[in-house]
Amino acid sequence: MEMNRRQMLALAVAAAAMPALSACGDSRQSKQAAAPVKSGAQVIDPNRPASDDWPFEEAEQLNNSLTWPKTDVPDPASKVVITLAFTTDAVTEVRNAQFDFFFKKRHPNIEIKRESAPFDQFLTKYMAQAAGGTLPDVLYNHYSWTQNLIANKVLQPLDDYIAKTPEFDMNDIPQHGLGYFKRDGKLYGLPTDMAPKLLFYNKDLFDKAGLKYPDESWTWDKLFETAKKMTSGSGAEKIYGVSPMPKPAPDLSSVYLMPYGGRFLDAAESKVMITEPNARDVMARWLDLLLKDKAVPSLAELQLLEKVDPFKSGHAALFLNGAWVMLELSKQKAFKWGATQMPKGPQGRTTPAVGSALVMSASSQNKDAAFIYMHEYLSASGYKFRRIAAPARQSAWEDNAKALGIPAEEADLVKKIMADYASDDGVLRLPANKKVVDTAVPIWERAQLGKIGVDDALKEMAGKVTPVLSENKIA
Amino acid sequence: MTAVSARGTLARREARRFYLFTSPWTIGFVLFSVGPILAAVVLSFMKWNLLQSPTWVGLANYERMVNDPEFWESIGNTVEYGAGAVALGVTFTFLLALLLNQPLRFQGLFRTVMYLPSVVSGLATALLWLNILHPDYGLINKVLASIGIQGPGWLASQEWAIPGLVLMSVWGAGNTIVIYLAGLQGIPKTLYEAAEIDGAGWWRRFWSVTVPMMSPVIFFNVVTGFIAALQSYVLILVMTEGGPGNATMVLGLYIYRHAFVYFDMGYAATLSWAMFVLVIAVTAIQFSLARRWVHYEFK
Amino acid sequence: MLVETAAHDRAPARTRQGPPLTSEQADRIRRIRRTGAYVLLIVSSAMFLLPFLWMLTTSLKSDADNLAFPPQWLPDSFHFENYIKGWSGSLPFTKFLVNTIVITGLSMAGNLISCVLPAYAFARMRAPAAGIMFGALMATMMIPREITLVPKFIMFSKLGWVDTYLPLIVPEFFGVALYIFLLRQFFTTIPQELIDAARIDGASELRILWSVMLPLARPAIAAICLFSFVGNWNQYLENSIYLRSMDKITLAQGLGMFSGQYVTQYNQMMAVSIISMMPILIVFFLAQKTFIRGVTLTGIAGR
Repeated sequence: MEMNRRQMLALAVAAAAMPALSACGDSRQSKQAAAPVKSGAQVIDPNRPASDDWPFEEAEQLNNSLTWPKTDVPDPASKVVITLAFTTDAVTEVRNAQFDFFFKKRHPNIEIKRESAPFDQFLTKYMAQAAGGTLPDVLYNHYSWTQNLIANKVLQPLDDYIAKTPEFDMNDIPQHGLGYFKRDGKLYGLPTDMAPKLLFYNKDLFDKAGLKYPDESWTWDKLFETAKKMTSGSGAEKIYGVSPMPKPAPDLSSVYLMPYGGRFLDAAESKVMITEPNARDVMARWLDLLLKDKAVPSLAELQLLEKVDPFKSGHAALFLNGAWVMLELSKQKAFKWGATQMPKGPQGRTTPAVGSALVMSASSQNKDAAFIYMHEYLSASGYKFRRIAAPARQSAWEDNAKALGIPAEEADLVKKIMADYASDDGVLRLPANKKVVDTAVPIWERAQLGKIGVDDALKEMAGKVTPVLSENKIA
Repeated sequence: MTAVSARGTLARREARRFYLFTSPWTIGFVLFSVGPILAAVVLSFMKWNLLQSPTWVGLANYERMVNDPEFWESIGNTVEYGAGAVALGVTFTFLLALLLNQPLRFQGLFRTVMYLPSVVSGLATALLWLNILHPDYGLINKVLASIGIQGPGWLASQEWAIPGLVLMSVWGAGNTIVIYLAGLQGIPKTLYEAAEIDGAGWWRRFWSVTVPMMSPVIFFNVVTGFIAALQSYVLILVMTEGGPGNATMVLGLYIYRHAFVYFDMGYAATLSWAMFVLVIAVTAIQFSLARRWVHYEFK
Repeated sequence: MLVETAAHDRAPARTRQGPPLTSEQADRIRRIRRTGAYVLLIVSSAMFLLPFLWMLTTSLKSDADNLAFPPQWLPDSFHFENYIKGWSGSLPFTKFLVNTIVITGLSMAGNLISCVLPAYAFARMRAPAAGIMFGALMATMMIPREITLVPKFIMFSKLGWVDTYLPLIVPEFFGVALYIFLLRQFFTTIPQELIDAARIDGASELRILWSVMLPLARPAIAAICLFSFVGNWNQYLENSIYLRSMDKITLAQGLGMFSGQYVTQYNQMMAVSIISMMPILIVFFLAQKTFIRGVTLTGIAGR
């Protein structure tokens, strides 16, 4: 008994001492922020940021090989600190640190304080910071967030800064993909990435079925027909003809409906149009494909979909998704894949151009420095340095594709689509977009379960979504 | 006369001690809770999107709530989930705790294993259960199929989604087991010995010693289990996002959406007070029922 | 331990009626019961072990196997390097671990210090406002924290506490309703005779608390330590709102960074999750001995 109590006490003391000890270590460490290696706790070394994936020498070499564009926006005369908040993941963190390192060498008076949050938490975190009155100078923005921030006047228009930058080369960025970041003729965001959706296909499955690969001559009718043919098996051997099932997502119109002349909402996002025959017929065809032909992954797969899409594991023949999945597909060796243009419909070919942007907060105290950073980070050289898979600056595509192992013909394809027809038209972006989706999706789910017919579902959707659209009216 | 005043002094002294002893909590409550709670009350009468100053809208949010069919749907789902999770959770974990309290070998290991689910990352839990409950490939339906039963659609069906989530919640109830285990230690051995001398069998001893002696602990688990279940949404958000067709749209998730997806703080505050009323009603019922079955040493 | 819990063990051998059993019969029944208990324990353990096995196999998969559908339980090849790559490949997880220990340790200490006294008072003392205060205590558990989160954040940012550990630690030193309620329930089960006896001996309230109540409520204290530890270790929403700099964030936040906008590295995420779970499991393994340590309450027989 005595022993036990002593053990218990020892445990309590140890538990209480542990933080105290590490707290001492911590305060010492923060004073020596410049020498993090000594503290024992490993931090990304600000003097030599590197990882196995991103060796320092390679970064230095690449940095030196790139020319950095100039701007007439003046560098600050004395030291300033700008705060940046990006969504980040384990992959990009070190690369960003390397960019900052070389940037600071070019701009000794600009000190950088970088904040990172995962995508899922980002908006919540920075809306709270906005309420607390402490937004960073530069922050990441998903295309579906920006219009709300513009409407609430928290963002800085960038046109004056761009005007002061003759080398900006606006034409390198697809102009019809900037609508998310524009309002009343002013531009509030510079894209960090931009990509269209493509039609991917599993070459192995097509070979096995003895069918020709999809190509740009394909129509949506052909896709439906082939999807039915390619569907086979059940259980672990199940092969779906096509994935994913359309749902009332922001890009529903652009991917699935507009080739037939249908739309989810009108261009002003003030009216529901999904009950009109052109849109209705497409939705009905997909529902048949799901319920009658079982050629599309069902709701149960859909729940897993964002995590594990059947296509990515070789269980779907056709796949409609963004060009950004090429990076992931290039890494896997389980099956051979290809990509082609979206199929044609009676009204031609459409695909959404979507991406994110960096924006500047209107409350920033160091707007010049913030712009200089945004400009370089999002220049063609910046894109090439960061090696991202879907650069908004088209001139960075080839280099990056080569470095990332994305086949050159796919890179060319994406560039061509971006130049020809990828567009922000039909992609929801106004403040109510999230609520519109959340209102419509449950109704569509009931249709996917066969609980409600397509006409009733679309009618109910129109009825419930219409009142929500009043929130899109911006004074 | 003197006896009465002496008792009065004693009572006063005891009360003073009470306020002194509770002061850590009282001070914290005043410093850190009262302000935000009052703010939440005020917010429920306002419209606020976090980016602009809040504006007064009177009872508009409450009116909207009463006429919001999704709100009422979410109340139904919340109660269904809460009742299921608590009923199954509290009894099943009690039995497990009894089992884990037996003097057997490797109990430390068994206890640790049964606590594991409470520790694993939410995402791992979500992915795992999406797979376990998958209508075609899931473990549960495969087992059912092997005995000739066709399993339900679980999370992919409107009727079975909540039962599926209830199953999952039971499995993650490691904390409840820990509390039961702690409670079982407080039962004096002598009570069992006395009962045994009286000729009480295993069942009688369970009902007349274990259950009454454990009743304050069971009560704790029921009360806090309800509070937690009625408020829970995190795993549901990851797994079903409220679907299919709003079948798992619980009130916690509905509040989360309005607060942190639509940034409609006023309405989120209003919904929060509805949740508060729901939870307090359930808890009050339990406290009033408790008088009949919870055995306290000090009344 | 065996002696202490012998009552449970011996008990089942006896049935209520019928002639006394021979020791042989009793032995057999005991053996059957024990085997049954083991079977039940092993079967349920297997169920509870699933998630961990799932994490373990995922953590050893190659990047490509990550995506298997239908899910694949065993990896084709074992990639132990995921642990090293995940932990020190690009994000400073050792730093995150230190940060997490600081926050968790201080919060746990704060919880322990601040919950015992109020719990004792709520369990064993009378005062005019006791009922109302207990109601307020319970009420704080019932207000969804999502709605006080932003007002709290604004309050703390006015204090200049954003991007420091203060908003996460300081409130922990002022009691947590759930733990106070838990301890109170345990204090109420302690026989009044023990307290009365100590009072007659002239012990002060603090003395009674320290030498009568606390030793008897030790399993509950251990439980509170555990819950506080696990809760703070895994806390995500608050941390991610208050902590902004990369060198201040915690393990839970770092883990979130494995899920990018387009690609989630499940294998590395699970590998790092497993590493970060280990301290909790160790704490649990140490604490669980306290849950089962019998409390001798001799001298109060005949109740």
